[in-house]
Amino acid sequence: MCSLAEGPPPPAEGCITVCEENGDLVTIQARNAPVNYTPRIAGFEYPSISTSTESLCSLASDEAAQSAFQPHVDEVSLWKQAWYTCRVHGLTEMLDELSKNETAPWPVTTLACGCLTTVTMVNLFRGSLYPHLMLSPEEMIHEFSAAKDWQDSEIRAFAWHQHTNKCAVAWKDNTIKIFISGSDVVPTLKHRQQRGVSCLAWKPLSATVLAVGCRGCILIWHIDPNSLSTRPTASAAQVLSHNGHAPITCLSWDPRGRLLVSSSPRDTAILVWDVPREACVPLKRTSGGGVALLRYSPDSSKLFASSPSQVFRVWETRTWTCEKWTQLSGRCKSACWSPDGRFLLFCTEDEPAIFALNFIHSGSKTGGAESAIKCADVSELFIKDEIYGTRVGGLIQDMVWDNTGERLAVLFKSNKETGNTGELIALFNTRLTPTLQLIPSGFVRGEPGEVPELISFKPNFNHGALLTICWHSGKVTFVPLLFIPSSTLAENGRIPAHFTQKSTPLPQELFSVSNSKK
Amino acid sequence: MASNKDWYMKDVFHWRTGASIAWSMLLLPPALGVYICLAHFSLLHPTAWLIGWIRTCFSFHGMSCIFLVLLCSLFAGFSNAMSYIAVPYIHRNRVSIILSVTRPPRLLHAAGHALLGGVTAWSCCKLIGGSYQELSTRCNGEESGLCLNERHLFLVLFGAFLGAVYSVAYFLHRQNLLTFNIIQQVKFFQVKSSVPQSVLKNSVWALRLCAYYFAFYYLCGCLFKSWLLTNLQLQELPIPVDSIRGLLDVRLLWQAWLVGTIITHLWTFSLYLFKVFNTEVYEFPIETAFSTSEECTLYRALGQQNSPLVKYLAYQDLSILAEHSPARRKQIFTLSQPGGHPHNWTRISSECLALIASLTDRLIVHQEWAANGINREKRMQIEEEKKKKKNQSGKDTQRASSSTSFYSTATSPGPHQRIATLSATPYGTPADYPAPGYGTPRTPARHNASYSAVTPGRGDSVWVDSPGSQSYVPSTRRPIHEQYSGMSPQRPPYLSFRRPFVFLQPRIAVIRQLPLYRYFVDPFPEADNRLLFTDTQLHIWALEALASLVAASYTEDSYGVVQKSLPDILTEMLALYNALEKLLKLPTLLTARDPRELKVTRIGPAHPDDQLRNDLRTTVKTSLHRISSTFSKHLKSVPLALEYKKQLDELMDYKI
Repeated sequence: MCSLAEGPPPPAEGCITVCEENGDLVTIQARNAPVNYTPRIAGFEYPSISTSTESLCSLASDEAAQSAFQPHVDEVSLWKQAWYTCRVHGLTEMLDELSKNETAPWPVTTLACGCLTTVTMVNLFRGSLYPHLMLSPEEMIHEFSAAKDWQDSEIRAFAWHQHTNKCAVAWKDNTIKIFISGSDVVPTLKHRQQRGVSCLAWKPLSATVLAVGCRGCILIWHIDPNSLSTRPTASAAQVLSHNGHAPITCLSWDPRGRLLVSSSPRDTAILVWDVPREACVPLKRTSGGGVALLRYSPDSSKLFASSPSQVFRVWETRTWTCEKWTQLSGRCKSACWSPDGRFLLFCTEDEPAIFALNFIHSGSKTGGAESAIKCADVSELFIKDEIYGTRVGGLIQDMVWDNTGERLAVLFKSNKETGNTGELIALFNTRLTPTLQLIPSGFVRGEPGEVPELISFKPNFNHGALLTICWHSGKVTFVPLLFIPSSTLAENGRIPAHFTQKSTPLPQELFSVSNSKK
Repeated sequence: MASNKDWYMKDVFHWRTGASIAWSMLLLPPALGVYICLAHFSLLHPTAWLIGWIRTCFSFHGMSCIFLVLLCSLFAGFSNAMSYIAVPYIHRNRVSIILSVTRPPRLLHAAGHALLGGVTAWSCCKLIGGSYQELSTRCNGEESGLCLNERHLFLVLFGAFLGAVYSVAYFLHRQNLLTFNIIQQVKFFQVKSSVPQSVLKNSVWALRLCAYYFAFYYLCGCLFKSWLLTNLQLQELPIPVDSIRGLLDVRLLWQAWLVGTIITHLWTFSLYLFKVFNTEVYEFPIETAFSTSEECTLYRALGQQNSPLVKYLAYQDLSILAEHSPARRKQIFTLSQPGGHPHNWTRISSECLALIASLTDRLIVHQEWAANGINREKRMQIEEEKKKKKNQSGKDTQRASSSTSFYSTATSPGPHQRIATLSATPYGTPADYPAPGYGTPRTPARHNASYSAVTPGRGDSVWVDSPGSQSYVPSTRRPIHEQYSGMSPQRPPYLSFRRPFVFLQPRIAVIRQLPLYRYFVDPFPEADNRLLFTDTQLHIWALEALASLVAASYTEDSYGVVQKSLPDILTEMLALYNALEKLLKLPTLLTARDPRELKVTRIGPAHPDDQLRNDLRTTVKTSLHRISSTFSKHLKSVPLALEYKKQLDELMDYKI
């Protein structure tokens, strides 16, 4: 087990981490930093993600048009009113209104009162079992989405395309923009149902399909890569919804591109969708009170599903049976698979540690180990440097593992008590053979005053790993981690051409401004 | 070939069906227990209710009633096994829907189910006891005679009514179709998760049926009643049930609803189990050591023509083994022991490719035929207008041409049909042009057969290009899917005696314009396209299997057996992709252009048959992407036609 203290110290305040080169993280001073400090890489072009939101977006508020009108209560019969309330706001609201209505005859009021009390009691009981069920949809997404501060962050979700150089960004104003490298066309996706976007997922083995998890449904967008239109029409979107399955907090595609699985903390079933047929199969297991997080293993043989309580499951995808792991210290907050599907790293909500679970390929069963091993301790540390000191570590918000299985990035929650804003992202070097090993390799710091919201690795990056960070202000930066994957070394027996010193992807002048702390 | 089917029927189908029926019988007594509990429900006398429940359940009388219900469900279960289908049928027009219900075997099915429903409802009456038990009851106060117990009659008739409606709905909604699941869940969980939903659905259905039945009984109940009254010489009770007052009985509604729910539940549950058991993955052996059991091997099952179910199961098995089972994949990639030929791979891949090629041909032929139809129609319209202009002048021309266009779009459903009616004037009588829409089912295979004989002389009246002459498809094609000939849709009856009565043609043309005739005989706008894609599930599995096998071969195929057929596979897939894209871009929905038909066009979730088509489209793309992403730059050295190479490059750049 390793701890953050073993690794190199964090960069000082006022520095920006720009890239990893030769095993070290390169930083520059924010004062002297050029406007575009991300190092250029030969043969690779970053998509230019602009933060400018549309000027009209302030008009598109979440408020309904109803609020502009005064309620019209006279001359409407009680039954009409009740029927309307029931249809618009639901049964509980109707009961509430009936019980408070003074014009209603007394048996109706009493009956409504009685029903309302029963409903409230039942809800309270359910809430005492599973507290998350008492949350409103927005609060639920805020609680369970990968973003650190979903409600206030400019960017709510981010996803790289699996194979090409484009990414989708969901903004706070419920629009999704698609940034394609080397193209000025930025398709903007808007849809009436697209509210409260919690997650995005590009379909693997497809150029066009993007799944969007929203407050009420799943939207499947078909975006033609050859089209020059910036506003795909609503007819390019399929709406998938299922009774009782909302809000959606996680979507995961089968790496073979056939199935989409979706989860909602309010629904105990995982839905397995055949998207073109718009058909779904619910996989229901009651204990746990819902499903918060889903992760398909890269070899598509297993599916990780965590519940909002101290239980998670791993499904095998042939006959769809599952194994359950219980007695966690808290609910599983984040998880990621190693590229070969042998290891699962996960962390819980109330313990600053990373756990690993080993899976051995064995027929139809998932083949998971009985108990997880704690492989990294990331509890909060105060690291002193020359002037001040920096607080690092703490509870984990999200973890991402890159496709080569050699870098792990960890995003931390902010801690109000100690004043730790979680502005540093910890990086680990990981080794899968002969045993899983995590080695802390440093911290990534952004521009001063910026707090990271979402982190992600680009799925296919030839020069190592490309860490993408979405900041609270809506800025997206790229931190290329340049290294030679050991699998490439093993395959070729020599260093591939684009890694050799002569044609180093980094421009040489970068080193003149570098100011790495050792 | 027939022995293959026999083998499957004997060894697998019977066992599976037997197991499904046995399970449904095992689960029947608990369901009936719950039913009895609900039927005896009384809020004010809880003890009497519970005692009555237990006594009914465990008495000899109760058990014999349960046995009778069990026997009825057994028959219903057997009828499922007799009337299942694997390939969906498509109704082309309303006549075919009516005919499909009124065919003698289906009428027999309906009558049988009415009988079973009646008997089950009768046993239920016995189980309820009380005022429902007997058909005759003592008239109140008078010892003189027996009265007819109309509630008993009401429930038994309801059972029969329900049985008949169930049977009609069974065929109308294609409930006999074996639908294969998206994922292969364990049977237990599959059934468990479906039971609550199906009970809810059945109870809603039964409640709706109750409403219809109450109306039915109010109108026609006196017929049955008077018949019984006269024949059994019974008297009538003071409050007859077929009056408003009699029907307002809440308890009667409750009992009827329960009876309806339990009968529907028992039948649909046994049907569901039948489907679950029979669509379960069956592992066909890939190779056998004995020639006697060669019939059961996978490749023979893939080429099976007689039993669609075996073919479906084989393709399902293939797609699953390709995805999940390295051991069986290895068996496919091995070489034969003496000789070293990749027989397994060759047989399986050629079966799959032949299947895909047949679909591609079908699509191309249909597309050509439809496109020709559209062009021809346009030309015809222009000529027609010209002709009219010659004869008339000024305003008259306008009116005439507008009426012509109305005539052409409104009376004729599709391009082909349109030409047939219009061609009467400029190109001779319609007898020269058999109307494809009516004369033959519109599968290209049939067309091709009928037109090649009729049209060779006329250069400009070629309806369908023969698939052989296609320069579009590089590889030589096999004859088009023959499976279709057996399962063509219902044909309107007048067709068979159309040819001899040629002199009736003008009359028929007049009849064709009648709205009623059009209502019944005009094909549904999408019927043609749906017909093309009825068995697409097979193609989806074949594509998935090929893609998975090819992708797996990158690491697992040590002898390189797959490499040799890689060009063929890519060519077939790209050809199918192109054909699909071309077809789906075609304005085939010609009838939808007619404004009156436009409003019928449904917005919302797609029709199940259209979904299958969408699935096929996605699967082709995904499969191509899968192969191209696995082999990536190595695909550049695969010999392909230039056009396909270009497409493959686009695929690799994710531009498609």
